[in-house]
Amino acid sequence: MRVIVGRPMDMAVAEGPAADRALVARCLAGERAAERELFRRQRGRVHGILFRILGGNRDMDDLMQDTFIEVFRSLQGFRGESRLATWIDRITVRVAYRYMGQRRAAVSLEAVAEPGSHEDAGGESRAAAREGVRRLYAVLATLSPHARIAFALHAIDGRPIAEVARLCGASAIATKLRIWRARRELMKRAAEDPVLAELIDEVQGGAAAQDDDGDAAAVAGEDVP
Amino acid sequence: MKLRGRIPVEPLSDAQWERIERRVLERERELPGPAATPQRGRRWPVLAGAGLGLMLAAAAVVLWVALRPAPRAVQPALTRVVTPAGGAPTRVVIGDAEIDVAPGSEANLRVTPTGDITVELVHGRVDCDVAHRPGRPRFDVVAGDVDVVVVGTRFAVARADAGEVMVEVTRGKVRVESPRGSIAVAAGERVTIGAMGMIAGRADSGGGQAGTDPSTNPSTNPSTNPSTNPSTSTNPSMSTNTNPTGDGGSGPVASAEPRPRKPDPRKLALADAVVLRQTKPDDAGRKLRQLSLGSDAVAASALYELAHLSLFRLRAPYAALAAAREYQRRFPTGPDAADALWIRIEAHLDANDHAAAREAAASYLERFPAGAKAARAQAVRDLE
Repeated sequence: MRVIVGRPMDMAVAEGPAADRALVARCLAGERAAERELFRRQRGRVHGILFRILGGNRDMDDLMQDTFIEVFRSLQGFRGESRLATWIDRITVRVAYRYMGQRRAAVSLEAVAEPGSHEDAGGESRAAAREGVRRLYAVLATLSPHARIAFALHAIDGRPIAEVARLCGASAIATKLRIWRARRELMKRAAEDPVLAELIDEVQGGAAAQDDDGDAAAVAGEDVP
Repeated sequence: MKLRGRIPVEPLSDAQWERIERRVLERERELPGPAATPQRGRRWPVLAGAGLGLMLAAAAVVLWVALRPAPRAVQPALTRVVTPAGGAPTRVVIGDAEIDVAPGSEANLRVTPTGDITVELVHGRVDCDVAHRPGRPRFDVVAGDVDVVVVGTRFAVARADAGEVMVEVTRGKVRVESPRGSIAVAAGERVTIGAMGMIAGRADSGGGQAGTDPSTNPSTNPSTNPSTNPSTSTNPSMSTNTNPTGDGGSGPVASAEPRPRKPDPRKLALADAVVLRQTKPDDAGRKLRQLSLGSDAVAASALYELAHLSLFRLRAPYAALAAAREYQRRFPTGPDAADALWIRIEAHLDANDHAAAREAAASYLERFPAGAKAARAQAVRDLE
């Protein structure tokens, strides 16, 4: 008996544009294992984006399903000009747009999971943080889909403005404006809502100075007309 | 304003992931729709470059023929194991999984970025000894349209040339997914799945095959005879061809092998109904109700989808309650049993029946204390 121990060298996980193209080619050839691999490789990323844009949502299963169905049905259009993950991000954002367009009036919000970073805090502060997040998404639900997605991708998902602009198919200036509008609305609501204000206060200090592209002031809203 | 890290992503349960994956892959395979590329922009650059592209492609073909590039550059990450007939088995050890590829077999082994292991059995037989999986990466054996999902076990999978697949479990438990549904196979059991995914026979592995068509019984096929236990064979003179792809060999063959696939009309109808939820929920509800009348996996899925649709799309909590209760009665151990109970909780809340919601939440916590909706159930149970 011949015994091979450990992960063979050629089984090392390949990543990069070439690996993306190879994986897509295998999917297009109808290879089931490749389809499964693509799904498992990207599912966490897709889920994260949808969650950060839409918050805890009872339709999350459907949204994940819709996104991946669209991914697989569009694979022939993947030309390898960008990374597969980026390409899937754009599809995910588009699904989120569509969902908000269809269901804007009835977006259902659930309590989100307890923040892991708050494990040391007491139950009361955990509950407050959870409630703050819930109210944050309640405010975001009142915004236009453009502003909501731009804000979520930038402020919550932590993506640079240039990347947000690419994902949304908008210019950087328009993206900054959308983020600014969302932030303005959020600050306005926070002025009347101490729970929301607490969530924002905790993260606001100095953040603007570290914003992307050297346009912190514009994003923060001070100088935008 | 940076909120990154402040908004924790609520994790999905394994059951949710599996359900989404199952639906996505089933839908994708049964309805290969037109490409809808997300790239936007004008078409004229594509048209203008078409001629140039053709010329470049022709030049590339000429160059390729002349230079014969080694296939290593385009090979996906996998190991292909081919064992000649009449030899001894080859053992591959990946982490805590031992895979014995029987003589006269061919298998492709893959590891995903998350460490998930997939063994694609092209033909022949593999014997696997795998540690208990909770908390570990997933381990699958794919034999044509049959997918064996490992819970933590020792088991064998054999695939005959005609397409039949035999799964025999020595220890632990596996779940076998085929186009006709999903079944659990426990220690000491053996199932045979026909070429079209139909379960042809199920029996104790030590006894005879009850209700099995002898013509589809792999035990009659020398290449898939379970008595060929590779773990007991240690012939050092075995001449095996453990050929990692990229050695200039023939490369992966899994995608080249045509898989017999005939869409199951009920699964197709279920996939259609699920998609129809978005645009025509009433029609989707009618279709799901019809599909739920059976007793197979499709019926179970349809019933759960009907409950979900009734509550979240049609805003009909009493209809959702009825469907969820029916699911629990007819499929008490079905894959969506936990979520059906969760739908009951939500439906009671929507119907302003908080007492019943608390009761359902308590039941959820009792039955599924680590379920994906346990936190939600706890919050509801503690409602004033």
